[in-house]
Amino acid sequence: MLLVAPLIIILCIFYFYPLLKLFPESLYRDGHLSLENYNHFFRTPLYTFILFRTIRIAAETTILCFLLGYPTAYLMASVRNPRITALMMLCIMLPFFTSILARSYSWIALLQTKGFVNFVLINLGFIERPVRLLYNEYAVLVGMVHIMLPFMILPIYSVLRNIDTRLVKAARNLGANSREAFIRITFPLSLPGIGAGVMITFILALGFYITPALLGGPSTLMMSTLIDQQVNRLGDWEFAGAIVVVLLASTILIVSIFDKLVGLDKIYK
Amino acid sequence: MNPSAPQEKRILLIGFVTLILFFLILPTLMVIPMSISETRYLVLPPKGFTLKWFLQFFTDPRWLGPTLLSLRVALFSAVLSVVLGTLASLALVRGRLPGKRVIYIMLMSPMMIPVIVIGFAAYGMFVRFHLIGTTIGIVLAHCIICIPFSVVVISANLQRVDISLELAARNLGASARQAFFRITIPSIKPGIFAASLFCFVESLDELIMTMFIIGTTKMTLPLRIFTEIRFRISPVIAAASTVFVIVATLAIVISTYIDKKK
Repeated sequence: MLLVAPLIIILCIFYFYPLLKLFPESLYRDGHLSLENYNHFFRTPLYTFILFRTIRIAAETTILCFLLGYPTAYLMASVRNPRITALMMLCIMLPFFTSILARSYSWIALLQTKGFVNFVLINLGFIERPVRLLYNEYAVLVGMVHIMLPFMILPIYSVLRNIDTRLVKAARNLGANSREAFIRITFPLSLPGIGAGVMITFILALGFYITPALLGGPSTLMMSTLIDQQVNRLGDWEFAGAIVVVLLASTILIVSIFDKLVGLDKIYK
Repeated sequence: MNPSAPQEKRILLIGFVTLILFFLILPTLMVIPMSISETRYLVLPPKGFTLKWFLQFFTDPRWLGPTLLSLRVALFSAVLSVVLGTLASLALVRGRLPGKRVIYIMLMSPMMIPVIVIGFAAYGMFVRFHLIGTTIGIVLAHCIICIPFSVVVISANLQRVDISLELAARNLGASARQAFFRITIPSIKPGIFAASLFCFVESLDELIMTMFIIGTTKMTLPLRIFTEIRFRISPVIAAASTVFVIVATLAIVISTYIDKKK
C-alpha cells in the first residue's frame, strides 16, 4: 500500500532522520569529536539536579493527578443521571480544549501577590499579609496538575464505565462489603485505565515547557526550560544537543518500561 | 455495621469531586471576567466593565496579524494532517502491510516525545529546505505534532466500518475509486470531522515547534501571548484567552453534535 508513503516520507525527512542525527551530532564540541558535552552535563551538579528535579516533578504531577483523577472518574462512572455526567464531562473537556497558555495566564493572575488565592487566604484568616505563591515549584506543580488531570481522568473513566456492574453485585451478594468489592473487583479491573492515564501524564509531564517557563522561576528549571535557556539565551547548540539527547533517552526509557508493564497499544484505545 | 456509612462516604466523595471540578473549571473560565474588567488583574469585587481589551485585540496589528496567521496555519495544518492521516489509516487498517505495529508506533511517537526535542532536532532540516520563517514551514511543523491525533481518530473510526459494504459496492460494479468516494469516505466522515477539529485546536495553541521554525519576521498568536506574559502582562492577553475559551466551547459543541449524529 502506497497510501502511507507520503506521510512516512515527510516524517522521515523532518522527524526521524533529525532525531537519529541528534546523538552523533551531540558528540561534537567546537567541531571536534568528544564526549565533552556529556561530561559537562553529568559532572555539573546543577544539571544532574535539574534532570532529577524534572523526573521528580513529573512523578509528583502523576501521583497528584491519580489521587484527584481516580475519585472523579469513579464518581462520573457511577452517576446514573446523564445530565450530571454531561455536566461533569464539560468541566473536564473545557479545560482540555482550552489553550495551555490561556490557563497558565489564569494561574498567574490567581497566584500573584494581589491575586485571588492570597485574597481568600487573608480573608479566611490563614495568613496576615500576601505570600509569594508564584515562580516556585508549587506553582509549577499546581499548573501542571491542572493541565494533566483530564489526561488521567478520561482513560480511567472509559475503563470504569465499561466494567460489568453485575460483577460488583455478585461480589456483594456473596458477602463482600462495598469496600471489599471495590478493592477486589472494581479497582483491579480499572488497572488498564490507570496504566494508560499514568503513562500519558508522566510522559507529557517529563517534557513540559510552558508551565515551568511561565509559573516557575530561575530556581525551578526543568529539562525543557534548560534546553530553551541554552539555545535561546546562551546560543550553545552543541551542549543543548546533549541535554536534548538525555531528555529523549529518559523519555524512551520510561516509555519502554511502561510498554512492558501496560502495553503501548492501551493508550490508543 | 452502620447502614448509613456507605451513604456518608458517597456524600464525602461527591464533595471531594465537586472541589476537583471547580479546580478544573474556575481557572479556565476566570479569563472571561478578567477580559471585561477595567483593572489589569481580577480584583475582588471586579471593577468596571469595558470592551477595550477586545477592541485592542481585534484592531491592534500586533495582535490581529498573529491571530490571522495562526488561523490560516491551523486551517492548513488541519487539512494536511487529516488528508495524510486518512491515507495512512486506510493503509494501516485495510492494507496488508508488513510491520504494521512498528509503523503505527512510529506514527504515534510524536505524541510521546517532548515537543522541544522534536523542534530542536527538526530545526536543521527546516533550515536546509529554506522553510524557516515561511508559512509552509510552520504548517509542516504543526503537522508533525498533529499527525498522531489524526491517525488515532480516523483509524479507530475506520476499524468500526464494515468492510463488506465496500466489497458489496465493488461486486455491484463500482470501481475502486467510486467505492472509496461513495462508501468509505462518507462512512468515516465523523472521524474526519473530529480529527480536523482536534488538529485545528492543537495547531492554534502550538508554541514550541513554532518557536524553532518561525524565524524573526513572523508572529503567531500563542507566541504573542507567550512573549506578552513574560515581558508585559497586558490585559489584552485575557481577551485573547477568552477567544481561546470560546474556541474550546465551539469545539465541544461541534464534537457533541458529531457524536449525536453517529
